[in-house]
Amino acid sequence: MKPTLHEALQIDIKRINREIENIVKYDKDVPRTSVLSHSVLQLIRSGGKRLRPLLVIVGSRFGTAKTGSRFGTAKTGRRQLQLAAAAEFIHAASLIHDDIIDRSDLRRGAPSLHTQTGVAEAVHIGNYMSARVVELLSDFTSDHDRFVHDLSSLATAQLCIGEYEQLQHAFDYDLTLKQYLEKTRCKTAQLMATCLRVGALSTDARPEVADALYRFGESLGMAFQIEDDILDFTATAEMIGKPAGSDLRRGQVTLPVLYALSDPVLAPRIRAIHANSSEEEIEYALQGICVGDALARSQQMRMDYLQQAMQAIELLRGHPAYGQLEVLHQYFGGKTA
Amino acid sequence: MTMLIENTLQLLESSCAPEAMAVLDLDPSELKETASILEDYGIPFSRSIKLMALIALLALARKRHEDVSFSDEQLTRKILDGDYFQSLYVQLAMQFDEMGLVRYLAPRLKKYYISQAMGKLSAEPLHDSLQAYLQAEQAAARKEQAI
Repeated sequence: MKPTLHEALQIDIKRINREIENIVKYDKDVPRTSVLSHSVLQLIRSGGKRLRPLLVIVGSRFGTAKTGSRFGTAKTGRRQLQLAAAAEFIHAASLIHDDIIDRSDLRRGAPSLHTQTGVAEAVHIGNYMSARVVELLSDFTSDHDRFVHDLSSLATAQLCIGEYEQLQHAFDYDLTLKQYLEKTRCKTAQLMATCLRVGALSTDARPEVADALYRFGESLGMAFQIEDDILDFTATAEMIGKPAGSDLRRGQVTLPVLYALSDPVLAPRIRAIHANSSEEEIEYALQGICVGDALARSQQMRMDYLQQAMQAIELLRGHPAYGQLEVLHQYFGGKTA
Repeated sequence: MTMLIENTLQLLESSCAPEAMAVLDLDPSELKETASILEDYGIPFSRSIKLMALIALLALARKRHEDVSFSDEQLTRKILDGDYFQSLYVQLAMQFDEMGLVRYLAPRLKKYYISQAMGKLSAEPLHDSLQAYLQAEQAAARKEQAI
């Protein structure tokens, strides 16, 4: 049987899950039996790939800290686990708010949090999770540790900017490729890149190593989002947990849509889609996008990013943990294939 | 005081990303209260602008996430604004070298969100939290001097 990503990376996922749960379990200000505690734990336990924590741990294996693991690389310590858990907490908090924004009733196949607590309460549960991360990261007090706050400031602000751009460009069929790429970078790629970089710096990786890992993570993140865009047209509802063409219905001009818009025959069909379009109109546009070359061109762009990812880590080729990056690359590159 | 408030608003306007199209609809009485505390504690003008901007971001974040519901046409915008102001607060605090404030306020802000999530609506005003921080900071400075 094919190993899971964490198995291939030889990362103890149970340890990470425990650390994530401990963030709320050991918060003395949260009553154990409260709805808040129950809701956060339920969300965390509902699954998820734990990509961001895994990226933090992989990044940490590129440090110079002499703790000597069997990989000949820096060992995963408590500090790295805390950062990994914080990364997942930030991601989970953003999912709570995303589900409200998208009015999505399901998350990982279960009722989303706001359907159980109410919208106002769910917004504050998401806020609690973000504030708890800031509280935990505030314990990293030295100037040397300033980078940890990139998780709760820069990367999170970029995430919001990506969402703003998405909101402003809903049903905007004049969106440029440059704008699309910028939105994707903000919304998805930068948090992934930051996870790798923060992990690396937590074990005193050299700056050029941390930067190379950042660029690698950014390119992987771009490929990851483009794949998600493609899956919206090619996957079944069971595979992605939402009906095919959801992005188009919500006015999101993704990469396949952008490419399809350059086809003069197809463009009017797509431009006709608006917030109140009928199912027939949407289906008509979806079929056109799937038949043309838009998906193949998007796939090519995805492959280009995967190639850029490998180029970014060329200087790390001799590092004992280089194989970990190859595993990540295979995972991100092989999902659609 | 007016100059401090004006400078703070200018700093906030220039710090917000254009994509956010941020509306800085701050409560003038809260701004005055904060300005008066900063004056009382003798905080230099340049630092006062920064501290006031940070407190203003927290106030904006709170305001945007207040009483949100699906019936609100501005729901998406409000959620994004609140999230953005919160992350900008940490980002600017790092830039201004005011992580001491972030550290001090972190448990208080967290408790505020816990109480909101649990339906308890009372909250400590942010200028009171700032005052407590300045008090603690000055006490620590006095202690250090004494040593």
